[in-house]
Amino acid sequence: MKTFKKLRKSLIAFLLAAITAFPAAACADEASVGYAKVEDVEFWGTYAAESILQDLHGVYDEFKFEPTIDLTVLKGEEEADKIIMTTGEKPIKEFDVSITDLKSGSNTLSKDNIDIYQVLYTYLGSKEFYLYQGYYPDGLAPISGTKAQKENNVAANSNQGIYVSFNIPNDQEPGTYTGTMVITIGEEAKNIPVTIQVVDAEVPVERTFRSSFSIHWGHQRGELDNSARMRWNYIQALADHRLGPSSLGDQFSHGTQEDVDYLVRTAIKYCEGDNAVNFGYGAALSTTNTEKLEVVYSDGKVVTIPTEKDIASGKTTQSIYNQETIDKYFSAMFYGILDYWAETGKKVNTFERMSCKGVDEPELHNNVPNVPYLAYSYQTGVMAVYNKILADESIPAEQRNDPFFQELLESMKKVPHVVTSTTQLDYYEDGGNYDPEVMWMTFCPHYNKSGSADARENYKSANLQHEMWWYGCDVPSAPYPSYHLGNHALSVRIAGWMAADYEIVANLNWATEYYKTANGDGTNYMENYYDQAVRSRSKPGEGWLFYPGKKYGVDGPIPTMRLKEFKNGIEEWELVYKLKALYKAKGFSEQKIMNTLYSTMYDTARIYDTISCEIVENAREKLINLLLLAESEANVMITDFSDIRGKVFYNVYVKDGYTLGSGEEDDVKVSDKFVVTSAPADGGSIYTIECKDEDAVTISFKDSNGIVKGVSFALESGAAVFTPASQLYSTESILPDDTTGEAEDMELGLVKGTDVFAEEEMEGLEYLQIKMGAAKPLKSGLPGQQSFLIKDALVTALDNTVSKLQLEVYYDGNDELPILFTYKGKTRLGAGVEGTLKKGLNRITIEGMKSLSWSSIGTIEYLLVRYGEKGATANDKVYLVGITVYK
Amino acid sequence: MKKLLAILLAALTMFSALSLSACADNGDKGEGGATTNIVFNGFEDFDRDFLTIRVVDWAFGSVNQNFDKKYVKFGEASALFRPYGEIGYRGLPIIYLPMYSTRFEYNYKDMTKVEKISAWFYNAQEETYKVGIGLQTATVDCGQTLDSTSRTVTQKFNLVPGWNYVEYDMDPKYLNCQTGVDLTNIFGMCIQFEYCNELVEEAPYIYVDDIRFHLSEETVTGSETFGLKADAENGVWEVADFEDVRQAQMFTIGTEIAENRRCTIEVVNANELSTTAKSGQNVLKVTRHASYTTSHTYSTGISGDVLSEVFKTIGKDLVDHPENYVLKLDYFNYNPTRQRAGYNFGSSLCTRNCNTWRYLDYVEPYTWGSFEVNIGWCQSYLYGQLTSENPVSTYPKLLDGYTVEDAKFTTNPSTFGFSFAKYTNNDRRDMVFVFDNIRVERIA
Repeated sequence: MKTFKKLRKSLIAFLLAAITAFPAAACADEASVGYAKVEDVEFWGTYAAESILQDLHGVYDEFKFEPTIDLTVLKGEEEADKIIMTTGEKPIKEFDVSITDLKSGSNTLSKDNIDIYQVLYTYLGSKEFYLYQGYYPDGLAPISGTKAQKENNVAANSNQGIYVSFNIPNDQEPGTYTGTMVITIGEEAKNIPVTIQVVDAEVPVERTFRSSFSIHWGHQRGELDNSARMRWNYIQALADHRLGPSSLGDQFSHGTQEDVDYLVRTAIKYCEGDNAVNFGYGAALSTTNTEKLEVVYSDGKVVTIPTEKDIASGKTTQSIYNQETIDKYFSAMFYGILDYWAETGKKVNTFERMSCKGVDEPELHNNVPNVPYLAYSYQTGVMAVYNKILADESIPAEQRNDPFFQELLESMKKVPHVVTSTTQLDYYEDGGNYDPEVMWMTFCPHYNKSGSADARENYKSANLQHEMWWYGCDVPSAPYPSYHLGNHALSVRIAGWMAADYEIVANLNWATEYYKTANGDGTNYMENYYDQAVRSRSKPGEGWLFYPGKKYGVDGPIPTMRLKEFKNGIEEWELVYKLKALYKAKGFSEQKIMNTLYSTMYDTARIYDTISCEIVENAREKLINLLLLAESEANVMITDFSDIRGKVFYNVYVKDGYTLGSGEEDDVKVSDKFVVTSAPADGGSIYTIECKDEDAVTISFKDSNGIVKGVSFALESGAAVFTPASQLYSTESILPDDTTGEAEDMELGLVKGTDVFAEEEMEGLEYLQIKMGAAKPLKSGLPGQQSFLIKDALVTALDNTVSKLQLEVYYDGNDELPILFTYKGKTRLGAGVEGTLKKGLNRITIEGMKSLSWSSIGTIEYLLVRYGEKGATANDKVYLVGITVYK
Repeated sequence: MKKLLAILLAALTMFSALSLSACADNGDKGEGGATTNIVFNGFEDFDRDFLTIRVVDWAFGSVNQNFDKKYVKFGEASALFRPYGEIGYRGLPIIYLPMYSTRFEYNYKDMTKVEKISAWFYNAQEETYKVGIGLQTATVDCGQTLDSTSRTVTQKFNLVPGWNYVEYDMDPKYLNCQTGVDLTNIFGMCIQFEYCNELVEEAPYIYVDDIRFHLSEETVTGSETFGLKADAENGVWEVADFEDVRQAQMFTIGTEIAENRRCTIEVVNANELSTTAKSGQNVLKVTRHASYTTSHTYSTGISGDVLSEVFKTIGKDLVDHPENYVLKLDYFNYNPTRQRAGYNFGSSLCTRNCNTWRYLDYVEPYTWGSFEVNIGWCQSYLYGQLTSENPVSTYPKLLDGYTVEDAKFTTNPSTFGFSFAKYTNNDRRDMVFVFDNIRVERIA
């Protein structure tokens, strides 16, 4: 009995213990880990474009700000800011984020215009290609979606970005709007103050910058939806980012009339939207072979094109566009517009927003010789439709006689036939067989082929509209713009600035939703779209500007940080375009003053490796202020800018009825320590402001109500140091050049400028006459040129903080001479700059020094100046004036 | 005290059940603890159950996770399929569920112990809706359409409005008839929907839940025979009369084009086609889907395994006197224009069938025709090509280790193929050919 009682007691004890143990076991994980509270998390703010890796710490101090959201935005603009949560030993179990409406007096910026994203991270691990291996921020998933998927948590020792994007309506009242964003962790909340200053200027609704971005690769896989509806959602997602699709569905077309009619209806629907950018129609163009092609040039000359042998058939043929296909598609579009017009009364010119992607990368497909003739057959195809329509008497008279009819016809002729080009710069090289009057194409070269003004002029000369497009792909990479993860997200934004600078009207991209990978077994399917963005090993992110949105409850794609920055760049392009129009209306150009902004970010399409969000934001702020000044009542415009040896001059236009000065009564204020002169101009006055020292001058404008609108522009004097030749002479820094052979005999002597040559700019300066003996042969025995070296402390001090180096030379000869100005790095001579010495004062400038590869250059050993013809006789007509180093 | 013990025991049991239910519900177990079925896809977890799904690249429709309990059979979620095709597209909407995943660590490629696959479908339409389930015998990559040569002939199911429980028969006897089937190496399962060609507003709503594999403890051996009828006395041996719907599985799908617009093969009641079967109630309906590419021939064929079984049943007399036997069939032209099919034959011990497509007579629209071919003639023809002094590259060649004597049509027949007339660009019609009453008859 005792034993049984003991057993019963033991059994009860066991059962009680077991019942207790089960829930305790279930809770054991939670208790042992411990989850972070608000106090355990470091909250900090940073620029939206900063790439803060999820698993990297200790390198972000210079990007850390107070955890606030603080932006200046324009109406119609999208701008973003970012808050980072950094955990310590304890993970965050779950968090949530919400935001209030923002208020400015009685005005509201609704939270419906605010998108809160949780940053998604993708792993980049190749040590060959990335400075840091780890999880890079890229995708942006709505917080509501990550919550639904229970992904709203943060591992220990991690950075988690909260990306907040503000879409400002075009009719938003200007003002300073404030509110609060709340990050909730468990039961606790962290309040993030939000301040948005809406400026009284606007990014226009109208999309002027065009693009052709593909959405026909893989959205159907990632979204598990290959309907026309989902394709439309992707097209709208592009439009939300001011981008246009390369096709509205051509890739799914089978060329039947039903398909074509569908494309036409879709094009009309697309172009009716406020957010229409551009659409591609190019997949419809097919080629065919013809045995004989006669090209009729604009001067009447007829040339039978030598055809090339078709290897497969053995026939001699020339590839041209199928004229029937062009007829089918262009006729359908034209008559579709007319029908729609007749049915609804609406005039929708889809041709204005259309482009045809023609030949793709002909250099890679041995198709270069065909390109002009394909362009010719494009023209003949379109003109055949044009003429057919003109002759079509069945078109009702009320339509034929309406100006819109003629507008349509002309627009149809201007549809760009885009030719992407990786290397070919010039189709005029072989005796001028290219004629833009009868060969219609719009060049679209790689970014890195577009940095030189000459190259761009070549490309633009290919069409009557004098336009070019450009694009990026696997190549180029940094320092040129690229979409590649691992590069700074600013890279794609700066492409917008460059496009404005170089007057490039459109961008093209081969894939935004590639959604496949290389599995190593020949297959490409994916089981996780979110932690991979790799097409090729060294170019992650290429082809991935979107991620599938279905998982996160989005009926369409979710964007990436890179896409958002790309949109920023396009918005900035639109602002420059607007500024350009304002200046042009007054007969001015914005280029000079904008160069002062462009040159802080890049040169010849190469982005400086010192680029930062701060630099770009400064440039943006200045651009906004330039626009506000130009749009102000006084139409303040900075029409010219020049700097000579560190002395900076600004020409500022102010409309009649307004004055510029330092007095209280002046409408446009400048500081009184700067010399200001003025001269009348059409409709106003031009004030010349000379900045004599390094202080910036601020122009501010007070409107007719006496209110300073916060409009100002800091005219910086620039940090430039001029070293006169006299100083170089006194320090014996000018030396004969014996680096390639025997040095020429050289004699130096200072002469006072005003005694010899009356140059206004030479007041107080001396010329250093260089009496150079006859050019000595090179070591190889070939004739050499006259040259000298400059070895000075200023040379060895040159580094990546230098933006440009300018040599001033006075030439007293009548015959122009070639000149080379360059530098010698640790291993070899740099490319430098070549120019021509003309009679008088010459400035030879090495631009873009910040974008040079300084790690390879090292310390500069000397500067080299080489001039004259090879084997030239003695020359005493060259005078060195000095060197200016610009920072 | 007893009461206390009872209460504690009950409480312990309850906690145990709760704890176990917290583990993933991956199927049932039998009395001995062996797993009797596993849940292949319950559509509960988006990543595991949806990100692995592959749709036909350009014209499926959409797939979504559904949480409306009305359309959930088990758990919290199901899948909603809306197969609505594409403007102008004529292929069948198909989705594919892979049998293996590296990321989610499962591998069901060896299906030799799977007796059947079951699934729950909810048809939200007011009419019946047909779905097909098949197995994929090669990997399906993204960017390609589902190649029907790497897919078994689907088993078709008529879904009535509401919930439907369907079972896919894994009888290896029938599955092995089809091209490329290796039940130890099945790459996926496909679900085929009806062709729609409508915009989203018209697309049907089909919910799917709880796809399970029902397991056998041992390898499934399947049927010993095809169960074909034989009337030796009257000299008639059934090859296929389609009263057993599994007989659709005895057919293969041709390899001419790499798009999912090849034939769809299904056994249907002849009434569906507004006609009367020549034998029983059912017929074989072969649909050739439209293509926009250059002209193509589409084909199917009855597996050599079936013919082999029938020929063995007939016995020695067929081997010795093949000229006394004919292969006969009835076929119905379910098209608005006169049509004819072609046929082709060979030996399973050769690399390919004979270099010939012989054509049947034309049949007028919506009428029956019949056809017969002498088996002895087939044998001679094959022999002639195998022994030709001037063979062309498309003639059959013997597989290694076999002789001409081995490769006889009567002893080792290959697929008896049927092909359909070629169609050119922009032909947007589906073509439907109907077969019934396929048999061998003794004529002498």
